[in-house]
Amino acid sequence: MQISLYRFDPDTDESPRTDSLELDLPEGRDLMVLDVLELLKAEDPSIAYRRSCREGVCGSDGINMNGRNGLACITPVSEAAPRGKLTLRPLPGLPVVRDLVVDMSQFYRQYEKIKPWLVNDTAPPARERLQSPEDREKLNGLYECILCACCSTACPSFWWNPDKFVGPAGLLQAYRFLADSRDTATAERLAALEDPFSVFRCRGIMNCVSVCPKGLNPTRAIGKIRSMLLSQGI
Amino acid sequence: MVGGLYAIGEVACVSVHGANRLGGNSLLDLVVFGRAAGIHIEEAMRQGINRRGPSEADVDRATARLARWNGSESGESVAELKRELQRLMLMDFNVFRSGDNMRSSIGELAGLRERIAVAHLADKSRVFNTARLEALELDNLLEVAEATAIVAEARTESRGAHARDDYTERDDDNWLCHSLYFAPGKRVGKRSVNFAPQTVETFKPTERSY
Ligand code: SF4
Ligand code: SF4
Repeated sequence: MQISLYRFDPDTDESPRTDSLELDLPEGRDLMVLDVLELLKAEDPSIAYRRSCREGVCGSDGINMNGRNGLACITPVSEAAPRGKLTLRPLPGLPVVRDLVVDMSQFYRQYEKIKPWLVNDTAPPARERLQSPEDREKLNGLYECILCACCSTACPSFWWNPDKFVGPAGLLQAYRFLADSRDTATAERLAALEDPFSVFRCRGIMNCVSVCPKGLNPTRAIGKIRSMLLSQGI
Repeated sequence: MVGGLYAIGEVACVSVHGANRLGGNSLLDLVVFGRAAGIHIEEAMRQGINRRGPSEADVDRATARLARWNGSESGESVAELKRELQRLMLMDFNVFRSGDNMRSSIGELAGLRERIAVAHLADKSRVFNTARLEALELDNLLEVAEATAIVAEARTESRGAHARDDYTERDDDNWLCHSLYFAPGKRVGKRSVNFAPQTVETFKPTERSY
């Protein structure tokens, strides 16, 4: 198989380059893209990428495969490269640390902004804050996010304003707490999002939905936040 | 005991599940002891924690290990040696084991230690160097693999999810205990299991309401 791999090590390289590599894949098995990276790394240990759980749970190995963001560990080679040539690049829009490793600071800063924790100023009960099954159900499709950044780095609005637009991943989590029956900070949360950038930079391009490896729908969550903001009359 | 160093879950090895290790075991360990450790840490922070820093010798050992890899100029690759370690552990220290195979593989592990000690780190970059990380990890993996192997061979019985074909029965007279491993000298020790009765108040069944 032919592989084109983005390489850059600021310690030794003046500028990024693309390596063209050849790899013999085992017959009769459809490897995941992460397996391909591991095979390449066994030959050339200097290839850098993040990985950990190798089963789509930790969110470390978000990369760009043939133009599309996804998790290398759960993307079959046949799906990433149906025409036989695999092109691997770092997630777009974030600064590259080395090879396929990007600096996620900007992404995490946006996540931190939305206060991703439960706020409840009433005294905690003796055991736990209960929630009805119906209210719990409202969090489905929201809490499963693994913060892989595939969505935000596929979003043109995030590319242009990564410092001001919260981005699909952050907004999905913002709505996760807005929708939580146990959270009492709804008004403050909405107030923090009402500026023209945080939410309203979303143009409904839906790139985020099409790449999310967990099948989540940030665009819908963003729509719900918009209606909450609008019904508040801002 | 190292004051201020907390361990929970499988590294702490409190053995809530005895000789079993089924999928999901680690979760109970994490949830129960993670909470207990959190409560303990909060309390300890309030009272002033008695933390022990590293000694000069600790730091020297750690930097010597790093310098060894950084200074390596040729030798076998980390990937090659790791593959070999994986093969040994998968073949001879799986659920079903035999004394003969374990003893021969323990010999091979000792040989692997010598090879790892002169192995080569090709990538010396100072930026996000995962090759260096994997080299250091290989040192650690070997330590853990050897501990696992030597203790498994020493325990001459079958228990829970551990089956030996040369000792097929459970042996409570000799092995109703935790196995301990001391890396210096590769020594195996025993620690008795705490059977002191613990009483927990039962919950009264009530209707579930919200
Ligand atoms: S729908 Fe909004 S958040 Fe999602 S990719 Fe488009 S602009 Fe970005
Ligand atoms: S919403 Fe999906 S794509 Fe975005 S960070 Fe979460 S899991 Fe990744």
